[in-house]
Amino acid sequence: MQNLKVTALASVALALSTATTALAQGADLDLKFAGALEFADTGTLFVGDNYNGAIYAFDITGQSAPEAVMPVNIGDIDVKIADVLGVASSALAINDMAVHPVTAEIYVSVTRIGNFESAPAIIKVTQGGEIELLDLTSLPFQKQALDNFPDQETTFRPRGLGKNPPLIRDLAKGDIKLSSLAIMDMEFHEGELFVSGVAFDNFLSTLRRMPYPFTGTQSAANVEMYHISHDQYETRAPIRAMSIQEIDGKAQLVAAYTCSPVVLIDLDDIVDGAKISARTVMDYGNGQPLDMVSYSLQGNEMLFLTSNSRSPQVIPVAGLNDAKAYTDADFSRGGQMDLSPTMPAGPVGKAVMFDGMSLHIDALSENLFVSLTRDMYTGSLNLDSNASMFPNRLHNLVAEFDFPQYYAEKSE
Amino acid sequence: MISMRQHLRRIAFGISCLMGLSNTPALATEGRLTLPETGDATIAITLKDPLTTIEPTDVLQVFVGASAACCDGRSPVAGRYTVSGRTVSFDPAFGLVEGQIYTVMIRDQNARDLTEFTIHPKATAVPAQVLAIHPGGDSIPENTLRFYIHFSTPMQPHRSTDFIKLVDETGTADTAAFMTFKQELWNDDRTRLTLLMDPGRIKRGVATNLALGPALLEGKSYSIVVEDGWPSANGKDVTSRFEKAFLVGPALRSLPATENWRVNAPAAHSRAPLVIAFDRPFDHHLLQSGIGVLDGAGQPVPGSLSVESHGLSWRFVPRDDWTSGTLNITVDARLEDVAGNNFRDLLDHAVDTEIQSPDQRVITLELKTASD
Repeated sequence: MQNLKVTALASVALALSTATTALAQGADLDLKFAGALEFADTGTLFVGDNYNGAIYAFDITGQSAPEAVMPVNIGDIDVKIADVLGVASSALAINDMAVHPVTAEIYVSVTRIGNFESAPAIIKVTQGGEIELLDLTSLPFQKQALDNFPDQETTFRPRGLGKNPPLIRDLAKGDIKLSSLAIMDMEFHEGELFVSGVAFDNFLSTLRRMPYPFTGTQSAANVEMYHISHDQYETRAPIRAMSIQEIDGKAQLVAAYTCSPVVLIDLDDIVDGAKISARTVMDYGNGQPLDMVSYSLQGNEMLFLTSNSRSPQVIPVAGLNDAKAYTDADFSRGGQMDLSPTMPAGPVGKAVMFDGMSLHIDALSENLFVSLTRDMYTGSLNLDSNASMFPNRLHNLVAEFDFPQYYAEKSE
Repeated sequence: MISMRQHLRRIAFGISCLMGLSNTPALATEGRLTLPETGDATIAITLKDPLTTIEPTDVLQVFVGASAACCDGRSPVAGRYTVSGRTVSFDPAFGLVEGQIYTVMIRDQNARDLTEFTIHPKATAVPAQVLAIHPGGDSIPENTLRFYIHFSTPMQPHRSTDFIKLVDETGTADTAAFMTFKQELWNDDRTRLTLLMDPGRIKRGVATNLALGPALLEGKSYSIVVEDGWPSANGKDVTSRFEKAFLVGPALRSLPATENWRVNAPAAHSRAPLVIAFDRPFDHHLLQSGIGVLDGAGQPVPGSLSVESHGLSWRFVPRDDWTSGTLNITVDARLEDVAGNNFRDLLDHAVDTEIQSPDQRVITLELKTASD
């Protein structure tokens, strides 16, 4: 059933105002949480709402591209976003970031924490570095409610490390709802939106696919995979980051999990009601993936996989062709960690330097990444644009090249 | 969808308007700036002349933070402007949050005027008053260590010495009775103040005890007075006078022991309260967490507790029916009586006293069955 709503900003009779306006909430738009973001090629913005159990598609198409994409660098981006939302930066949670494929404007989904309630917001950072609140009520949108959305009461079971009892910070996990994992990552591919997350009453790892424009039809398939480092077949922990690539001559989903396998899934296998056995082609050992960016480096298709606890990994897509699919038969029993001789397993690519920690990253242009990067030394959160071939900043590095004598000697 | 969009105005909240300060046309304001009292209220300014050529953002903007940090390089709060006649109004996109400092910037004749404001929390509606002083009761031991003063609303700090007094039967105030610290001992939301009697007045033979004597003397009557006029944290109300009178009884100079407590055994399969009667008053605050109830399997029994009879008894009502068999009541060895004596040592002990070691005492109790 089609569920199409179009909202319009009420034409307010403003005597002499030429001011631009925005409202946080429209009459018909019921977005409660702005989580995962994904753009369609022409600029439709998909927003995952884990509270409403729905995906919203906002029409931001018809925009023109800049003559040249400029790097955008903004220090203390969290403070500046909070300023626009009228709160202190401690009352801001950043949920995701995505770059408009036409305008190269950077969209950040956030939660604004008020005194007694939280509100979703989407911030747009322009090519000129201006930080704007996106007026969602001015955008035509479609809403697709998700079938088999999990309940919103069940919470995580806290655990301690090994045999140690859970610490207070571990116990806090017991207050977090499993449904926060319901929409983890989204990928738009040839007229369809693919969504990873947990679903159904028993919180199974699920891949959904649905056509866009939304028609109300959607498919949901459960995913099982062999988790090498845990030495077990897993059905619950969801795909955290994913990308669709041409591998072995067909469209496949490359999907990264926590602790830290990467699996391949034929798109053809994602049919409603299916129980998919994903092919595990690699495992890093430990870590939790954040984003997987598809980009081209010297003519080769690459994936840039970030983690909350490892250096980013650059994976050549070509290396995934004919990749061995691992099963429990390939390993002796027992968990494997980073230091196990079997780790990392498969065509994992290379760990690369990244100064600071990327909270979210996306391709800004053909040769630029843009990242929300936590500075190691100051703790500040900065929006940084850097070359995708070497996505680093220099200011925290001191090397031979920083000595004036080096150049004096060279010139002799 | 697209054609509809073309009728919609694009939004552009940004910092660009700040750049044009020197070119802002002269404007004169008249009348008062309207500041919001609630988070969803409008901020407005009235001008002498109608706004014609310039943007309302050139007249009025709101920023997060104090005026001292305002506003170069900062982005204004996003929201909707309306202009009606000579009045420029601003409605923030999201309700302003209580307790946050904001600064309104008004540009007038190329000068800029900064005004700070805060939306006061709704809790300000609660009148400021003293609800209770613990230990309560008509009589307290001579060596009572702590008093807790409970307020109805968060209070302004660093005022306790101005407003709290210990007075004797003749109405004479003892200005050295309570410890004075740089930091007053408040709970997180500043509704409970802990007053410590100066231990130097309690501990026998130390300097202030010898010079001034004990602040409380057995057989005499005193009052703790909280004078009127102590402002609440938000400044919206002040206390009215509160007086707690008490008679001073004998000092507590023995270690507490659970053997001296009377514990009733509630009936199995009921929600009858478990009540412990103490031999002396215990610290009201420490009683909130110092005693636990474990079932026969050693798991904590969920339920709610209350302190009664001015710290002389403790009452626990289980959330679910008691099962049957054994209960273990754990008592933290750091639980103190009102004189600061815990199960390990006395507050006022001789230098060479041996410290009692176990971390907790356990009282084992059989639940009553029908045959009992």
